[in-house]
Amino acid sequence: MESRRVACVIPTFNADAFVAEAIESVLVQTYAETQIIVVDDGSTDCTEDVVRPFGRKITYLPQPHRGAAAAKNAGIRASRSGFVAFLDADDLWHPDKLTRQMALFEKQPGMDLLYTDYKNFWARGLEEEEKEYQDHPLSEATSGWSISTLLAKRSVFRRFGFFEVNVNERHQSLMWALRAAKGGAAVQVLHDVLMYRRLHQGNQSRGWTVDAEFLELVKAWKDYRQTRTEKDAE
Amino acid sequence: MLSPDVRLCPNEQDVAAKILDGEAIMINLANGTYYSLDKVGAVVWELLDCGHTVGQVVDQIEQRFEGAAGKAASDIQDLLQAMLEEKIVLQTDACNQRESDPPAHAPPTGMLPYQPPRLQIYRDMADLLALEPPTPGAAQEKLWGDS
Repeated sequence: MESRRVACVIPTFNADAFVAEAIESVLVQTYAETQIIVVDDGSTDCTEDVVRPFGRKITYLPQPHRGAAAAKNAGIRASRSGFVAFLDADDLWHPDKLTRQMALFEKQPGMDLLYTDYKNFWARGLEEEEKEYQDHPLSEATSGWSISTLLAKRSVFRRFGFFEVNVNERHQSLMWALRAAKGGAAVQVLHDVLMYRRLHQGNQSRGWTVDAEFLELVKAWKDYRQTRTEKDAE
Repeated sequence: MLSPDVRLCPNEQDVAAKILDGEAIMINLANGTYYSLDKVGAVVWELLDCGHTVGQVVDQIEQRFEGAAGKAASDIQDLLQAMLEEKIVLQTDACNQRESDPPAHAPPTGMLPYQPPRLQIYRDMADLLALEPPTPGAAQEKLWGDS
């Protein structure tokens, strides 16, 4: 039986404008058994100055810049918990996120990975863009396997491995999840909006274009869905 | 009914495609719809991409797949009509003006059994784009369309 403690891994790289808010959104969780691990992936801005004042409320792990996958992996290794969640430094959690997710894990102990819905919000200074997209899918609740919504049993990393480094950062979280899902991990999405994804000028995915790796992901996703549908039909 | 002399072009402006494990995976960026073409269909896609006419595509499929003779012509007509409707391929003057000769294909080493090509359409996979979601920008606008 897993420990009910949840390690919240916040990988961060040059996000001093946002990371404190991300940490606060974990500190105010209504779920009490948490461990916050901030992995500073070689930031060159004021991240350390922003994070240090949280003192013993968090574990601060600075490391040389190795990329988001390596940062998440470092956070998993440092965790002392039965569950692991991730929060990108520019995103925020709903205060009840972990409570609601852990309640579902209580009901369905066979589950391994649990994602939730989320909504985008626009950072200050992007009011025009926000207005432009107000009736657009980007402004609606979105259901998907977004890493900042994931709550996973820690054991899945032992069973299916860690995030792959040296792959496109945009796709590595999904590649890992698909690998786990295809390997037999039980995946669900809780359809409550429990994460808020900040759109700002520095989003890695701004100017996103389809590339060959994305098409490979599409195939992997399609194959996974097909397998799942066949299994469900059995 | 498409004439055997007609060439269809992949809609390069809106469609991103890649052959993976003998399967063609495509996204129409104009409407966010995903498609896949199975083995025979993937070969059809490659042949169109190389500039083959409809008639040449049928000939190639009949040569490469056992049991295709007599069936492929009709099946490929249906497939191409579906691809045209989805705007994955286009029939324009520019297609027929392509001057490059299709490359000579190596003769098949062994014929694979023929299965009618099927265009699989996935209109419910829009969430996939949200997995690692694009943020606003020119490329993103194309991906989400104007709905």
